[in-house]
Amino acid sequence: MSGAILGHTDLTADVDWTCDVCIVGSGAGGAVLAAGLAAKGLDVIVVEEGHHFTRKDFTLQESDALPAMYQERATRASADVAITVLQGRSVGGSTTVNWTTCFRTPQRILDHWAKVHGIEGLDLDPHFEAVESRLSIQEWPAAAANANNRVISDGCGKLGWEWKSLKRNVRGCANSGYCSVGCPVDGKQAMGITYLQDAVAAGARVLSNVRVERFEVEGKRVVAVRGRVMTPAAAEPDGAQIIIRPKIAVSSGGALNGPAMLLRSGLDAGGLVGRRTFIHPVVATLARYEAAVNPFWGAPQSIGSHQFFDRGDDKVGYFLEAAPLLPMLTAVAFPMFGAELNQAMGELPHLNALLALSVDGLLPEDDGGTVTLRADGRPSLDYPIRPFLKESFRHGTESMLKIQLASGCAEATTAHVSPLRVKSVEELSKLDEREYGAHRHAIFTAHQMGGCAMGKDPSKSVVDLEHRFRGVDNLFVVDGSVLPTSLGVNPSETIYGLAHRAVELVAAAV
Amino acid sequence: MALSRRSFLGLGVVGGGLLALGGIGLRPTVLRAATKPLLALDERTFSVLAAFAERVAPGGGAFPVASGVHVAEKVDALLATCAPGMAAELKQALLLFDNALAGLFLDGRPSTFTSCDAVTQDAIIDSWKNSRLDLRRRVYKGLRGLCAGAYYGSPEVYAAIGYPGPPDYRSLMAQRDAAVAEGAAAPGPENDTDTEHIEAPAAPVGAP
Repeated sequence: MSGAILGHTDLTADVDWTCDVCIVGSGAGGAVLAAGLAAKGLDVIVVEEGHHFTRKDFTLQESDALPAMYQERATRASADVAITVLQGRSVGGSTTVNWTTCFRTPQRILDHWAKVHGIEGLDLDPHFEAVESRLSIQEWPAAAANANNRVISDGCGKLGWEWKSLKRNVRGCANSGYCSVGCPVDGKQAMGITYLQDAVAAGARVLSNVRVERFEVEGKRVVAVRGRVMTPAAAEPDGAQIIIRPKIAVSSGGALNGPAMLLRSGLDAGGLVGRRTFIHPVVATLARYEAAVNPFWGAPQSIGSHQFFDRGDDKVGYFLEAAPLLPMLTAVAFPMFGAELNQAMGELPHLNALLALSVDGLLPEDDGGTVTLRADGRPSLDYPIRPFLKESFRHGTESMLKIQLASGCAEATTAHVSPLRVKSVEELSKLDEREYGAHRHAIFTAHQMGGCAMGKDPSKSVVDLEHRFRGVDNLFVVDGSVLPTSLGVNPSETIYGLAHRAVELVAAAV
Repeated sequence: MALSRRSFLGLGVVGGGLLALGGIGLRPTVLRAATKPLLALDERTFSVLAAFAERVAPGGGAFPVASGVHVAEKVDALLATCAPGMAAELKQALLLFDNALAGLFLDGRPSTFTSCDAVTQDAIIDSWKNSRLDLRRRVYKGLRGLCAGAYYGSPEVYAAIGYPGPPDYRSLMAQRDAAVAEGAAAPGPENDTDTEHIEAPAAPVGAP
């Protein structure tokens, strides 16, 4: 059969197909893996719950894009609703809506994985080189950075702090700033226009609009992948039954959804599936400038700082990046209401937003969050904000305010439910008057990792160093869920690299 | 209505208990009519949501009021595309928020939220926002986020916040597609792998 991307209008009758490899999930992990396996001549089927969007579908209106292209219609949150979870849902997964920031896995993290999790000899460099070439991952020139990002270079420069230009997976980028609602010019090298197209050209079938309910397991083998078609606006599956009977099954649904699917299948790896879920919990500050910032335009993230990535063995580090401000998400970030909210939003063109992303999972006592199943089968993320994270939030908030003040803002503001507003560094001591943690201020995550931790020790890890799910002979996990800790950088390139490495491992098992 | 322990708003047994007691109702919910047929909410929960939305976005100056851009109807439509359990949980949260007995028990206020005047409603919302009860802060965050998102995602609000809206890239791309169809080089790995052409416009190409 020739390759194609099929959707709900194609999949109108029940299907029962066989193939060499069935990959559930078409994001950063599944897409790269599918392309590599298809190029080897294997019969590959990718199953994706989200819809297949192309640039012609993108209106650039958040009210269209967020419900259509984000998990749970962009209402996903932690179980206690304290953490807003931004996670993509489309052919291409989160790569369709991410902000294009790419980093190789930091050596500090690889060293930690080797020392603590037994992941030794993980040479990702050749794989990074391959994906960087295919996805045009390159440094975005500082001269092209927008005013929103230049706050970091200006502020860090004056404080004597480290900063650098970031790499992005773009080609022919129009510098629009609308990465989060679908690139209107195909400048972003998302999976839907790169690796998935490669996979289809090599014969792979991509089934979109199909929710996989479970892997059907007999003995120590996955014998079928079972799902149902769901139309894009449907709340639940409402179409044909899809059964795929593969030689090899791969879970690539990403952190949260991937572990949930395994749990629905009765695969909990001795209670380890869903544990050690990390999210780079994000706190934000906003600043108002006299001059226009226009934070809704320009490459969303082009400058960042790792000044506080490593804060020693007993503290949680964080890294600093900017956030684009489109109205809908900005309003969700501001915790106030009424006239106070109107006033804050009315300053949108003059606002800058900074993010401090805490590097969770490195302290011995930090085992992150846990994914379990809700009554209806959806994932539930329990993520407690422990004292060491509160300390990181407090420190990160102060650092961001210092940067904004150093860069010349008129006023900087925390994202507390009762925001602290400062105009000088002398006022920063007031940060101690505020509480940090759940429901005290806005907390986000756009980086979901872990839940199927890779490791050497079978008693502590879900997959081995070759991505094999322990205890099932023909099941692999290839996505961000295998990360045993968070990364301290945006995770997409690490997932691309791991998936590129996994091609040979999965192919050898067919 | 069954309560899931891990619910959207995490109401749990405390919220469920208050809801059950709230069935007695000291003062009823003040109902509002939706401008469209309801898809996920019922008349009572819609009315609570609409009243809440009106305080999140009360209008003033160039800002339209929430009802002017149909915030509650938009949230209702969104809920209809979400997992059914989520809509059920949000309805519970709305009933709890409007619950007069809970208000009497916890705040000494024997009135439903919807029956209060605007000043009192703002005070109620503020008390939930800063409540020592985690449950109330959860409800505030959930309801506020839905309403604020629906309101500021409405193009009718853009002018008030100085947001020009997205540029017209479709026209731009139609021109490029036409040029490619006539033989021009398309952006791709063979002819467009560097950044030399990238400029840093004050506003993106095609911006109004």
